[in-house]
Amino acid sequence: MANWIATFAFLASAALAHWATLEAAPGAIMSRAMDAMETRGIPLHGFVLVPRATPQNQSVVRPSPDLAYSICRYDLESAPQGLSIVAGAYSGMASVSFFDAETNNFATFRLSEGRDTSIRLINTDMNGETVATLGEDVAVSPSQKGLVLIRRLASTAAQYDRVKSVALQDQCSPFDGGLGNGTGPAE
Amino acid sequence: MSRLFLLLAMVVLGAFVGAASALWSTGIFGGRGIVLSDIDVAGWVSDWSIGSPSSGPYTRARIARHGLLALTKEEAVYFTRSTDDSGEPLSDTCDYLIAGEAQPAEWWSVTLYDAGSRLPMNDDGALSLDATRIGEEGAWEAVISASKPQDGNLWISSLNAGNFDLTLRLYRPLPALLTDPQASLAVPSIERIDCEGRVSG
Repeated sequence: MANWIATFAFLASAALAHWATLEAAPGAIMSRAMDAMETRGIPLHGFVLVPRATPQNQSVVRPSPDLAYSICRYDLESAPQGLSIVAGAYSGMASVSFFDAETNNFATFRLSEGRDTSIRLINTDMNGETVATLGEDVAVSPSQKGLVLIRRLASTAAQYDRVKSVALQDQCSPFDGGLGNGTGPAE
Repeated sequence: MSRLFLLLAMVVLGAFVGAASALWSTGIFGGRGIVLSDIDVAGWVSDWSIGSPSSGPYTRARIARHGLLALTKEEAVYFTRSTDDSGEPLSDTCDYLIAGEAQPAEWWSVTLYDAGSRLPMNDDGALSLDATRIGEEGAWEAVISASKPQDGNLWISSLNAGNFDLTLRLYRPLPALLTDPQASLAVPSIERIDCEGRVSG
């Protein structure tokens, strides 16, 4: 009898730990990635164009060496009115994507060629129709913290250099009249 | 008392085994883990739920470790292959010829990653092949090798990659690819040309 109980305890404990680990893993990995980005100089509420991905400087798994990445960390606790996201105009394939604290890609907007794209990032407590201004798209974050990522096609060094000047126009700032910080290339 | 100790020991041991098996099966610890995918086109595997909160816990954990910040399928799909056409693991000790055609997407690329999901540590500057280099020609082929081919062929370097895999990214896939990938994907072939000290098969 005791052996049966011990076996059941083992199996139940294993199943529970297995499930709990699976559920916790994405959040833990995302949190660790965001901490690493902070250490590498990616500020809160400001875009940084990361250097072109090479084996020597890669900071995330499976980066594409053909894409230029601009990253903004956000925390909506310190931006209660949400964030104003602006992606500078680019004449090539480009998009703005949003990731929550559990790594989910909850919104993506394709950039229109030749003109800036404006997006309002808010939390679930806010009404998107109420807060959006004319011409803005709205992204609703399921979590307080997350990442905004601008991807621009730049498969050569010359194309990446072109992105550098475009990225100076990127903005990720609290929608309370405060100034964003850290815009522009990371170098 | 001894029964209580046994019970507690089983609970602790079970928790350890459960956690370790979760980390291993998703490739978070100990290699690539078990690849669960709902799409398999001639060895190129993918999962249409990548990036989505509706994806299963194994997919989410695995992608968090090996493909953080992946997009949902409407914007991009990612196919991965770790074997050649004969079913052997891709290795930096062998040379390969990868060949394909135009893909059903606005842009595509093939990038090589090592077993840790990282770009291989070399400075060859030949990490990937993408649609802008192929242009309008459609059909293409490239050599995958640890050394640059002498004949000027397109080249992806596998130097210091160990056992590696290839990721085929397709951005802004055409609807036909999402509804019927088996019929729509222009499957790149991977032929093993030669290996160090071994006769090619």
